[in-house]
Amino acid sequence: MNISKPARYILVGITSLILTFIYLPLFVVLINSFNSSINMKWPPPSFTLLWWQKASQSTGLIDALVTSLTVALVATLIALVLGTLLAMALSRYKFFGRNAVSLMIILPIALPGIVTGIALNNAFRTILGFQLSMATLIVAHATFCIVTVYNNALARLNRMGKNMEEASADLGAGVFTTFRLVTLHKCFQR
Amino acid sequence: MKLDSVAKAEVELQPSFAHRVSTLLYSKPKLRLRLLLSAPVTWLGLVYIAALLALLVTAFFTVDSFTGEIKAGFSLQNFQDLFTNALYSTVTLRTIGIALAVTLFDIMLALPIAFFMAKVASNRVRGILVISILMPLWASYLVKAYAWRSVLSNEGIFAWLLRPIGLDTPGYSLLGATITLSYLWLPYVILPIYASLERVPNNLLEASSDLGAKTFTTIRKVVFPLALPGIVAGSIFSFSLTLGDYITINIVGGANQMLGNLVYSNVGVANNLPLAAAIALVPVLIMFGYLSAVRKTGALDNL
Repeated sequence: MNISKPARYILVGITSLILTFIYLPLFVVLINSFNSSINMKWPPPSFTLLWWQKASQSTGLIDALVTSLTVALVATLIALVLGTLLAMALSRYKFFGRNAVSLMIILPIALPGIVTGIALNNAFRTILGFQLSMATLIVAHATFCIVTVYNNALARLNRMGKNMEEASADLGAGVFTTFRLVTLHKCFQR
Repeated sequence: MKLDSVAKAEVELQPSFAHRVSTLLYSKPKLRLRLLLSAPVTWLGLVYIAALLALLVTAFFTVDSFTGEIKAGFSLQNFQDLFTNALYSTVTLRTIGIALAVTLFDIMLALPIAFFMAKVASNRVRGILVISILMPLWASYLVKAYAWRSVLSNEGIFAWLLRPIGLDTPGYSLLGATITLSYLWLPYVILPIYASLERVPNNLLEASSDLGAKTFTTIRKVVFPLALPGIVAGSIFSFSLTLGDYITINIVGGANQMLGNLVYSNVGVANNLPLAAAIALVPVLIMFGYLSAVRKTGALDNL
């Protein structure tokens, strides 16, 4: 868009200010990891590697990291499959109940996280009588992540359009071949 | 010899199992749709919707004050507590106030930067900006909340920067929590607004300026209405995420409580899940009201 010089300068100024706002706290964290003051006094009185040394010796840190990575990996895999299936259904078909399904998908991000959390806690513990465990953690995270995968896959599928998939079918590719060689391929492309 | 080769060709033409399934699926779009939907809809229905409904039901249960066990049955006790105890209405109003402030602040910040990214910046700068906005999302929520604890502290960088000019850090207060929450949700507001602005065709803006509109008039009358679904989508994120927050307020909010704290303490310390369920229905109702109010703007397709 053609905009006046002053307007452009104002926009550049505001954008730089916002970027400073976004990166200042992250920069402070980085510097504070070397801060010798335990209260994170600013500016740091002197610098130390003590906190990094302590962190590297923490066994709790490693355990927590392994738990986080396991949950992230399994939940992501589940969400990837379910989110992509939903995106394919909702981008390529019009059907009765489509709006209800789409509302159901976005609810986990449209409702506050604590509602999802306590609803699942209640369902697992009180209703089903399960102990909370790694498995319940993974189920909860996967449920929460479906919508993120869905949104990205849906945007990509809508932009891609149906033409190439139809061309592939016309040229004799089956449903799975088209998915593998056309749909999935285009989803991975930049 | 000739017959042999015909028989052989027929064997080769015998379609594989995958091929037969593929042909069946191709000829039956309804079946294809059902298969696509079955797994995810079952998962979301059984895990999520069932849990939400169970939460609704649990809100009518009570807890035996001696044994601490949940008693199933229909009672309006929790809702009576919710409406008569002043604590709940104070905290609800405070939470809504903070959520509104965070949402407005985020939209104010997001509009100019999203507009700059989508319509003014060169392709290269746009790419750098998108990455710069996305990158902080990879840092953990907790890391960022604690970063603000250090930024806002009495000996932190805000105090250091602001005291020389006669101001002071807001400290651990509602204002501190509002700033921190705005910071946390800002990328979630920028991205949908950016996406909706990017879809505005440039020739509409050119037409507007050809017809004599100044930059600001074009922004107000052409860009803003077209960006509205994105703005509303962003506001759904910031509003909902703030309504449910209970960690940030603990870290940078001093002794103040939000709805999330009341829910959380009733699940944990107070061990009164039914009351927690009843309190949790407050943000659910607010969000359902908000979602149905903005449904017509098309914001839900922009999340």
